[in-house]
Formats: sequence, structure tokens, C-alpha cells
Amino acid sequence: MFWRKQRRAFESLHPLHRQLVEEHRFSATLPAAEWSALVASLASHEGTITRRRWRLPRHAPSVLVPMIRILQEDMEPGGALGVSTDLRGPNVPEKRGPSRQLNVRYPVRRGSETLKVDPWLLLRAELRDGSVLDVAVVERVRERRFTKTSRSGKTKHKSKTKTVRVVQATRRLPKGMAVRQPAQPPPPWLAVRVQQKENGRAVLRASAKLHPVADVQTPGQILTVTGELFRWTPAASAPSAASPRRTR
Amino acid sequence: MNMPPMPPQGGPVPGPVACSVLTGFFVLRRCDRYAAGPCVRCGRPACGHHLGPDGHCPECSGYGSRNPYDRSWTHGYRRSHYHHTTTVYGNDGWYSSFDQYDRDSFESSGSGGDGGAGEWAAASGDFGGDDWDGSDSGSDDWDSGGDGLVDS
Repeated sequence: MFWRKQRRAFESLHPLHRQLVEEHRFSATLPAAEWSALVASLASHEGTITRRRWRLPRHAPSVLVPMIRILQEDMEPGGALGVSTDLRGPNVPEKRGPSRQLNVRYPVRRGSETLKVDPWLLLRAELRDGSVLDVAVVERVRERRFTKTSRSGKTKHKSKTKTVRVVQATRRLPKGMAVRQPAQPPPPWLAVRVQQKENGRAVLRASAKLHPVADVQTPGQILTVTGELFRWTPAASAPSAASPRRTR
Repeated sequence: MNMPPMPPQGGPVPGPVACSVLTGFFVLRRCDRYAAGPCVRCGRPACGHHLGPDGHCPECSGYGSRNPYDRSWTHGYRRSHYHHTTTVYGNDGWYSSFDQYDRDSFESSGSGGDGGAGEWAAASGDFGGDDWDGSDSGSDDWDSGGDGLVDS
């Protein structure tokens, strides 16, 4: 009745895991290897926590965990990995943007449009090739509400929402790393910008406006945009850069 | 992650063979840990982190599970993601570049290279493991290891 066992199990979870369950958001920067403790804690959630109130947000196992695991692969264990996630959805007041009245005509009596901006995943990783990768996943929601009166005098309220997902990836290269335009251009829906800084560093930016897809396909969508940045640095595709140890 | 630590530079070397598994997602590199043993199927050396509980390397274990909590998940996901994005970028050969490590696998042992044809069976990581028939190398060479660690 009082969830004593559940409460004990909940208190044994990783602090960021508990914060994610209670507030549906967290923001932290840790060495890459230390994120494994959070992933292990999240992996145990299904088996230990049964209380509905403490279930994980739906993006956590399907998007957050895969993205952490993938970035960890490209990082030294001590490299800093920052994750800022807010999985409360776009309907919280601080994500609500300006609202405006729409011009309407009979039988619609009133119409308004509200824009919501939901940056639900921000990642920053120091990769092992010396570059710094920033990834932002933002959902922009347009919500339109109408009030209309039919001929019989009934009043009805209608609403329509349209969601667009914007994925932006920025890679700041280390000094002296060469940038080469790939032979094949990026797909038309993917915008790429290359900026050469005065200090000898280059900054690559890729952004795309996409339709929201199912959770399991979201990491692929994010990584497709991010992967474009690695086509511009030829050394990134050459594993020999790591000077592997050989034997005979 | 639970993995055997590398010995300090210049210290005693417990095992001469390095893990040959390709690590990373976008920034690909060979694993820098020492191998814990050969894969029971293809004979390539792999560390304890990359050898599955059944003794298979990531390639031979069918690229792991679909569960992102599983530590072998990233290998399989990298392969499927690369396969998908070659069509998105319109560049079929983008991820199929070979490096010196891969080329060494095809050199004959008498040619003076630091990797003979029969030394490491499937040293080509993601790219060429399927081509090897396993008939002329593998675990035999593993047993005789220790006579030629070369840092390239």
C-alpha cells in the first residue's frame, strides 16, 4: 500500500535516474565512462520498478540510452560528455511561445495559434579525435485552436497540431584537421555549413528539418544528420589513425 | 565499463596480442586493449570486453542484440546504420574504405610486411570478415603469438 519495497528500490537507483523519473529531465556533464553507471541503472528499471508513477519517460530507453552508448564509443573514457534532456513534452508553460489571433470567417468565431519550442535533447561530447560534437534535437509544435458555432447553435472547439523536428549538429574540429568536401553532395534536406575560424579551427554544422518518427527510429534520424559532419574530414574514415598494435 | 586495464607504457607486457576489433561509431579505431583470447569461430584476437559470453567476437556473434543496454549493441547498430546511410548520402563506397591494417591481411608473409596472410584471419573489422574461410590461419597462430608485436 505504501510502496515501501518500491521506495527502497527507487532509492538505490542512480541519482540522475531518479531525477529523470521524478522530474522527467536532467542536465549533467560527466566523464564518458561514468555514464555507464546511469545506463546500467536504467537497464534495471524494468525489473525493479513497477509503480506506474515512477515509469520512465518513453524517450529514455529508446533515444537517450542509445545516444549515450553511441557517443561513449567515440570518446576516451575521461572525455566530458554533457547531456541535457527534458522529456516533459511541449505542453509545459516555459516551452510555450507567443500566441496570436487568426483571421477567421463564419462559422468559425475565434481562432488562435500558439508556437511551442521543445529542445528535449542536447548533447555535447569531446570525441577522441580531438573534436567537440554538439547535437540538439528540438521539436517545434504549432497548435491552432478554433471555436465555431454551427447553424443549430452548438459551439464546438477544435484544435490542430503540427510538429516539426529540427536536428542540429555542430562539430568543432581540432587545430589543423583538414576539411574536404565529399564527392557526393549531402541530400537536399540536409543543410551543411563550413566555417573556417581565424584560430585555424574549422566548424562544421549540419541541420535538418524532419518529420517526427517513431522512437526506435529517432536515434537513426539524429545520427544521419550527425554523420554528415564526419564525411567532411577524410581522416575520420581511416581507422589506421589510431596506430593499432599489430602482432604476427 | 568493466575491462582489463592496459599496463602502463614501458611496463611489463602480459600478453603480446592486441584486440583486433574496430571500435567507435563515427571515429573508428582499433581497440587498444590486450586480447583476452581468440574468437572460437574465426580465431581473431579479441579482448574480454569484445568477446561475448560464448567466446565469439562481435562479427561472429551476429552483431549482438537489439537491446541498447547490451554492450554488444553498438557494433550491430553501427553496421545497420552505415548500411542505411550509404543510401541516404548516395555514396555507396563511403564507409568501405580500407586502411593499411586491412591491406596487411592480404599481404603474403614473405613480402616483408608486418602482417602475413595467415596471421590474423579477419583483421578487416567491419569490412571483410565474411570473406575469410578460416582454413589457413586462426587459432594456431594465436598459440604461437609473442614473437612479433609491432606498433605501426
